[in-house]
Amino acid sequence: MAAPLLIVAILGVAAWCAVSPGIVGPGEAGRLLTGLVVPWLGLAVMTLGLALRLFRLLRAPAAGNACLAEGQRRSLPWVRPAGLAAPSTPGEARLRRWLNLASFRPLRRASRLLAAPETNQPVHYPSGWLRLASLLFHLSLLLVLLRHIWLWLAPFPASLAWLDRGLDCLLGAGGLDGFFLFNGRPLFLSDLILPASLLFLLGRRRLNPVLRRISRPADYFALFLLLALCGSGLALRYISEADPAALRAFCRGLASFSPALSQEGGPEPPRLLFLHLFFFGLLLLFIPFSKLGHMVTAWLAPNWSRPLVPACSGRRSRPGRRGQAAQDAVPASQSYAGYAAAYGAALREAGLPVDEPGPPLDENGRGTE
Amino acid sequence: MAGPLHLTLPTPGDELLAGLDYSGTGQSPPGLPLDRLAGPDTLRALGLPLGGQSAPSFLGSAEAQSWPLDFAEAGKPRLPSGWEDLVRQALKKRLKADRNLRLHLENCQRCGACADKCHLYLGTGDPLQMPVLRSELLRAFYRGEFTLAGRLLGLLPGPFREGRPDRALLGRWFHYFHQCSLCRRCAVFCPLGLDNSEISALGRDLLLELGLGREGILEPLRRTVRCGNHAGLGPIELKAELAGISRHVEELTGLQISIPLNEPGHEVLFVPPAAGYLSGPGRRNLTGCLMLLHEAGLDYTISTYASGVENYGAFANPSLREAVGLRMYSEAARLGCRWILAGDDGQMWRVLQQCLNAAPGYTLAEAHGLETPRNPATGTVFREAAACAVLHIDLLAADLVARRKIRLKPKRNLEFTATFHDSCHAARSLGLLEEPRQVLLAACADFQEMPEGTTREMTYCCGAGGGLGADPANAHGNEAGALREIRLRGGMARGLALRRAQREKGVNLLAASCSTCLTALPELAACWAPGVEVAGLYEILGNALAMRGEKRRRLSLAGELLPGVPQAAEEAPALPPPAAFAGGFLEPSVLEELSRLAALADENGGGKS
Repeated sequence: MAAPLLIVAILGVAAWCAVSPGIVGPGEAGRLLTGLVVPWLGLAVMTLGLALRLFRLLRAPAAGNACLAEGQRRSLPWVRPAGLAAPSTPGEARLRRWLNLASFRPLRRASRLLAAPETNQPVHYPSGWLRLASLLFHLSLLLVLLRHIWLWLAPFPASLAWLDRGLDCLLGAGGLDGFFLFNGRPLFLSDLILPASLLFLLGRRRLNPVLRRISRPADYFALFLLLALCGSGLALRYISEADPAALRAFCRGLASFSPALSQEGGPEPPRLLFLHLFFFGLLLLFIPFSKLGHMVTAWLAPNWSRPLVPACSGRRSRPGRRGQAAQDAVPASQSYAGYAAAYGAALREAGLPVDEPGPPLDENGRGTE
Repeated sequence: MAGPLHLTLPTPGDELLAGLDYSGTGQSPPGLPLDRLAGPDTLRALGLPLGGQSAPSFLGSAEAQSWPLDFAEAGKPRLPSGWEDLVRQALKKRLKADRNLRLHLENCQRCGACADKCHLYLGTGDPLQMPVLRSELLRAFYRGEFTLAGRLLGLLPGPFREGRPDRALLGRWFHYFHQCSLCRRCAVFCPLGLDNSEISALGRDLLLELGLGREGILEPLRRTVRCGNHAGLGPIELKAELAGISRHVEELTGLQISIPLNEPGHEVLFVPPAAGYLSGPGRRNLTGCLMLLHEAGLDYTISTYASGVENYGAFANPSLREAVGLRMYSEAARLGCRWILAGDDGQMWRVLQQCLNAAPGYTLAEAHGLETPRNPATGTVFREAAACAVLHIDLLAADLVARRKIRLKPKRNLEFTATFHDSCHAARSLGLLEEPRQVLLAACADFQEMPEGTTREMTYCCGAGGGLGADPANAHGNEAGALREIRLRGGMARGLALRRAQREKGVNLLAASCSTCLTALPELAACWAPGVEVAGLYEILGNALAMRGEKRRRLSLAGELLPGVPQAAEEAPALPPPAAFAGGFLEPSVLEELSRLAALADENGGGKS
């Protein structure tokens, strides 16, 4: 854990020094780098990287049907099927996949292994913390990202006002959002939950010995990067005295590749903003090379992508490419002819009928009679 | 029967539990021993690459059973020169052929949801048996060799480089991927829909590219390829075994059942589990199956060419598993059967479900001119089996039971309180959960479930999945069969659940449908829940089955007096009591050898304990 933390810290300090006037020159080069180059580079690399990653995946065929049955399949009329748990149509499979992805349903079975106090037998005790924390993390990340739209839409359209007001109600605070103030600014629930869930996921990796054993540096790096990004953003919003209008102006300049990097065009953009943008760029750079790429590949989830029962076209069709390949996979040694050659005498001795090698099989695998 | 056939098992229970450490911080044990590597003859016969195994250096010798976890000893096993490249190329090829492999390798978030769900981790406490860490053995290699970030980090010194292909990594692959039972239990918990068993299977496949395979898996596979069943029974032996079963049924019921063999023109091709031809609960299960089919009046034939459902290719290599899986189709087409009825052997059903019948626009039924299975006794059409034209026997039995086409006398099973062990793939790859329970409930009135979370889709492996049931050392009369410890440790989760059901609900019978489970469960029950008997689902059904025209039955399929039958003093049981355990993978020659040893031990005063 130490190395990823150190890397994030060093990067943060370096960026801070680079944008502060007087440490490395006037700081303008640093601002250009952290505020413009890194985020845009990150965006480009992420887009390209994820597209490549997706392309590489989709280019290969999805061989096999790994559909996982999590319950009773549809079978005899009097047997009650488990519905989505064992999907039997493509539609059901799709529904299960998106439900599972959107609500982390498999984690409803999450549990922790502990020795039962009296018997010392290993027992799985149900635990909903992982599901709760992951759900809250993803949801609040989504909300926080969406809320950044405000920075770019200058007359903020009334139709999007709910973003800045009510969407957080989804998190269960029912209209309380923005009711509390922090440092004179309305407090968003998701702004609290995002770092809290990140800290939980981090603490879990450190404190649970099993998690500690399976965690890799890259896992910590992702968490620290997200925490740094989140921390700089929160500081910018709730602590710094930055003028929101100036931030807005700056970000719009960023979008058109001409941000006001120095004081000439107006008030100086806060250094925290550059730090925030820098971490954002780093995160984007990191995504396509890491497990975070699951943001575009998770929907391909192999175990949920097909129904349990393959569709039967109902008409006699020639085997497709893969079907043919499967047929060709039967080596001659495994064919009936090979078997009859090896066991013909034994078959006759046992008084069993033997097929003499007949005419070659046609493309349907039937004898050409 | 005393002697080498009889397994005298310790009841490790609490000592073993006390020694287990689930903190996740422990070190890996030196590696539970696996059996020997497959020899060049086996590899050649299967058309597999020989790798470095062309010369029988240490292969086949006794020491082969305990070679080190990390392959560190020089030259053992031999690897082909440039093997790192061979592995790289092989993985590249497979990634191109299947998108899902890349997803399994890339998408893991290491959230830990699967970490403590594996029965092998529960039974060993070895952190590398956590599904996520077992897969990490291959994921690290993938990242180090196939991703930009991994390759760049690999340029840095030492610890940054991951999954460097060396003998130590290869040794871990061999041990851990071969210990995984491919049961998919961890997949049920994965929030991203990933499957560690696919990674274990991929790892085994890559090892085979180097000629590294377990003899215990490849030898039965070779027998399947050669003679159609993994037990190695040729037509003469098969006919004799079936005649034996038929005789047994006649002794019990007074009815002559005919078992057609290789006869063209029947409606159904029945592919039974080949373990049923041998002794033990598997045989009694098959006997029950055949009694059921007779009573249902099904027009079937058995084939010697496709005489066993067990698909050992599933433990080795995708092309072999497809080839083995397709045998029954070509045979059904050759014999002019309309559909196929198959007994339960988990892996085979998974292969059928996932590999053979997955291409869109093409179904096996259509390709081989087979029809949708239809039960002639009830008229039920099994539409869900339309695409593959293979019917699971549990479905047929459940249909017959529910539509009352067979008469059952559950009183004959009065002495039992039964519970049901779902096999991994009937549950998780097929979703057949209620059907076997309905059959069992009809045949044995007292049915109790094992604790929640250990049954149905969350069922635990019997310990013999993934090829661990095939144990040549055991077959050769070695009481400490090389894999027995892994099986019993892996079976601990199931065993403890069974023990709880035994103590709390009075369960004294464990029923299972899968033939692999049936070979493994007796030793599991003897170890973890002594006093619980193991029987096939169809053995219980066969006992309860009131066949038309049968005589008054005295004995059960296991040769015990049925409840309510007075003991006749002069009458000896018609059958010897069943052997405690017999591997379902024995060559006849081995069986002979075993019985000779057993007889010898009997002569010497009952043998050792």
